[in-house]
Amino acid sequence: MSELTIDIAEHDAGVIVRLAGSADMTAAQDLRHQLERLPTEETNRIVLDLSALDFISSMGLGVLIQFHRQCQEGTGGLRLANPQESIVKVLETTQLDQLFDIYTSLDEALSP
Amino acid sequence: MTTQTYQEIEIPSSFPKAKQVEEDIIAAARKYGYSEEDVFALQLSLEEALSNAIRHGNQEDPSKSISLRYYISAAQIDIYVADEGTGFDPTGIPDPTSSENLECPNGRGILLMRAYMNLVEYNECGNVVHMIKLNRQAGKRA
Repeated sequence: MSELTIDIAEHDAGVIVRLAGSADMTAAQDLRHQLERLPTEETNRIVLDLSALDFISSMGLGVLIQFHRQCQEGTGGLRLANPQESIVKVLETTQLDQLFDIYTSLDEALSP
Repeated sequence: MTTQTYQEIEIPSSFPKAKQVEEDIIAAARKYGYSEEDVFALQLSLEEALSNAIRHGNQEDPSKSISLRYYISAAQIDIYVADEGTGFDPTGIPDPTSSENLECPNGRGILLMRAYMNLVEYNECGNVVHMIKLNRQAGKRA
């Protein structure tokens, strides 16, 4: 169980947000604040790179859902990239795999 | 190694304190040989039970406490989480997987606990949750 780290990088195709560690009850508030500050009104696409995210709880999922709404209100869409098997299972269990656009690699998520 | 661990703990309604207890229980589960898949399930369910107790049960009131009781053996883990709230009816929670609720940011905790644990049950008034996780590795080793 490692603390959540959030790295934000600009890319030609949009903004990549790399989440690593645990999106748990102690990290949800910080994650919400960091995502809320992203310029979703000016960015074509935001990709959450989940390849190093090893845990997410319902509080973390709630933040991603709110961010999904924020992106929908902006100019671009939100894509989730390369989640680990355990995270995919959580998304499938909650049926949030029907809400989010999920890609198996970062390259795929960044493609048009 | 002892054949069973039993602990009773009372903590304030605080996410960092709850996280510490969660980490202690997970460390104990690993010592008893639970697989990483079982540990993930345990962590997720503990997280949901504890965050529900803090947010919904105790309304994030730091003067209110959460009581935990747990037994861990190589065969199974039994956990009781009690808050000081008035309780709720777990059958009255809207289905978070229905299309009208899919974008709602809350309400998935009980669904996840039921999916990842072998047993999840509440007391009559709904302020104590009891969860059991069976060790799928139990009996596999000689």
